[in-house]
Parts: sequence; structure tokens; C-alpha cells
Amino acid sequence: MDGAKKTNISLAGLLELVETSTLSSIKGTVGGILSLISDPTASSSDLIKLIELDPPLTAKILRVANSSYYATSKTIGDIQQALIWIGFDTLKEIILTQKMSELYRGGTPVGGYSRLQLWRHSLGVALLAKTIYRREFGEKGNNAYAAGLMHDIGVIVEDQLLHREFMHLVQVLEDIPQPLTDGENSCFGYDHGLVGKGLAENWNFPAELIDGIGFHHDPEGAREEHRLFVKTIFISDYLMFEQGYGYVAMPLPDREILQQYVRDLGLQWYALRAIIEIVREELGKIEQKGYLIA
Amino acid sequence: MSSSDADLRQRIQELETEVRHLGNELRLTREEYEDATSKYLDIYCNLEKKISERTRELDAANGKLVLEIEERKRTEAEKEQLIAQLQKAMQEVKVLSGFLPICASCKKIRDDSGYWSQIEEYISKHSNALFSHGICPDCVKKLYPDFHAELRRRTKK
Ligand SMILES: [Fe+2]
Ligand SMILES: [Fe+2]
Repeated sequence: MDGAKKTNISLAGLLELVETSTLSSIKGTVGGILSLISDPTASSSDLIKLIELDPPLTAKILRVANSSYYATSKTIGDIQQALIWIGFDTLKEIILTQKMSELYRGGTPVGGYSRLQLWRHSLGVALLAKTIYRREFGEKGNNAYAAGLMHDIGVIVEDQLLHREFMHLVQVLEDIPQPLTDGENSCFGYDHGLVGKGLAENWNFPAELIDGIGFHHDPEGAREEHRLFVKTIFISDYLMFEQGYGYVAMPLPDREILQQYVRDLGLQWYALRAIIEIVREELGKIEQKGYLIA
Repeated sequence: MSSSDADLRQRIQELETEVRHLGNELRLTREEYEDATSKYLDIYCNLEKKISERTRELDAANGKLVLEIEERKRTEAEKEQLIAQLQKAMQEVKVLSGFLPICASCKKIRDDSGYWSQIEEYISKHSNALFSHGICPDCVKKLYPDFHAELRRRTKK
């Protein structure tokens, strides 16, 4: 692409770098929590065992559980109480959110991009995808939350490990508007979907999540059985960008694709609008309570 | 269809959606509540189990402690007995140690109450030593000169 020099690190090389970088510090807890999320028979003692392996995590969980965002009438003093008062599913979400947020700390904003913006975007997509599952499909949507939260993990990998090149790329996007994935492809030879997919596979994430991360810009590429799930992530991603929860300056794909996926999922626009309102409100609350900052 | 009809229809659609959404939300929340309740029971049962396990452990530890205390009491008693024996032995040793006032001429020994007794009487009383009486060659010469001369003559042969 114009103005961007090609990097000579291959996708495999980048994924190898991930394993020796600080990014891999979240691997154990995140991998563990994801298998708990996708395993309906997982018990609370599995969760407690997992938390005990990561000592600083307990304090962080309790801080969030006691924040005014959850506003329980009782002071939560340990994980058992947290399980009872805010629930198993919410607790798993809090843990995943806490661990993921560790990757988004620091960095300086360049062009329209910053790690904080990317984090806001990820949280927004997670909440939107989950709420679509809950309100429209009548399902818990824990996996949708996880996929939403992690779908752009490839972006943070590029930011952390190919920092100079990535910062150059977001600068270029300001001047020459184009989709991020196009810019990545000409700059790196791969995009953040592929990076995320590789990481998700190396870290043994559940299959649905691998597809959710890998194909969120191209749901038709996902395995048949995960396609509707991935389309939900695509829709959530698109809509959050549209709602001002983007993280980089870029033109959105053709709206006709969005319309098509909305039809594929059997969603009505007035229903989606109602859900977006709920998510905006929720995000506002999160930002106001300071829970957003890692 | 007038525009107010369309508005009304849209409003109805929106309300229906809201009702459906809230219905789903309510059902999921209820499920989560039930799940939390069962998790609570899980934790509670685990706690009960832990307590009974702990109680069993404590019982076992307590039994061991009782045995240890008994064992300790027994060795203590043995030790006391040994000490008593030692003390007694020490006392006996003490009686025959230190200064014994003895008559320079007749060799009688004076005891604590000022009574003079024969040396063999005194030692027999204060120790386990027994006396077997004999006579030494010097005293034979002094007390029985004839017998002494005869003895010398015989041994020379
Ligand atoms: Fe993306
Ligand atoms: Fe995204």
C-alpha cells in the first residue's frame, strides 16, 4: 500500500513472538475461563480453583463485584459470596474482562487509534452481541460476550508486537481511507482476523470462538455451524462502529452486507434499535462508574 | 392505510418487541437466579463436607494426642521412679562420703547422734557391704606368738 513499508515478519513468526511476550501471561486464566464458559457442566468449584491459580485476580474481582455498577446491597468479601450475589455467568464475564483489559493498558493515541478506544469498542461489541442473544434469541450469550470482547485481539497483538509498523498504518488510514484489513494485508500480508485466529488456535480456544475471532470481517468463511454466531459478531462490530464506538478511522463495508446478515439472523431493525439503546445505556453506566479503565 | 395507522402499527410492533425482549430477559434472569441458588447449595454442602472432614481429622488428631499424653505420663512415672532410686542411692553414697570421725586408737566411728560404734557395725548399717571376719599375719604375731612361730617354721619347710 502507499506510504507503508512492508514488514518482513510472517504470521507464524508473529504468533511465535506472542508466546514469548507479556501477552501470553493471560493465556492460562483466559483459556481456563473460556472452557468454563463453553462447558455447561462446569461447576463453581472449577471456577474457584481457576481463580486460586491467579492470586491478584481475587482482589480485582472483588473490587469490580463491589463497584456501584453491580450495586449489590451486600458487601462481597470473597469469591463464594460473589458467586451467590452476582452469579456464575457474570463472574465469568468479569474475570474474562479483567484479564483481557490487561492487554489494553498504556500506549499513546495515534491518529484515530488508541488502546482505550479499542477496549471501549471491544466491550461494546461484547455487550451488543450478548444482548442480541439474550433478548432476541432467548439464550444466555456468554460465548457471544467472549467473542465480542476478543474479536479484535489480533489488533492488540499487532499494536504490541509490530508497534512501529502498526502506528504507521493507523496514520496512513487517516490520509488514505480504506478498511483496516486492506491496510493490514498490504502492510503485513495478513489481517488482525488471521492473527486472532492463529492465537485462538494456539491457545486452544473453543471452536466457536476461533471462528468468531477469525471471521468477524468475513462470516461466510466460518464453519457452517458457527456462521450465525459469527454474523452476530459482524453485526455488533459494524453497529458499534456506526454508533461511534470505533477505534480507527476507516470506511465501513457496504451496508447491504449488514442488511443481509440482519435478515439471515431473522432480526428486525426496530428490535435491533431497541437493543442498541440498552447497550448504549449500559456502556454509559460502565464509563461513568470507571469500570472501563483496566 | 393512513400515516397514523402506520404509526400505530409501528408502535404496536415496538411494544411487542419490548414485551418479547423483557420476557426473555425475565426468563434468563430467573434461570440465573435458580442457578445461583443451586450454586449456593453446592457451596454450602461443600462447606458442610469440609467441616465434617475437618472434624474427623481433629478427632483423629485428638485420639493421637490422648495416646501421646498417656505415653508421656508413663515415661514420666518411670523417670520419677528412676530418680527416686537414684536419690536413694545418692543418699546411701552420701552417708559413706565426707569425713568419718574415727578413734585413732580403737578405730570406733562416731555417728551423727554422738554414739561410737565398731567400724564393722557402722559400715554394715550404712552400706550394703557385708563383713567376713579373719585375722591378719601382724595380729597373729601379736596375739598368738606361739602359733605364729609354728606357722613360720612350717611354711619355711
Ligand atoms: Fe476487527
Ligand atoms: Fe471490531
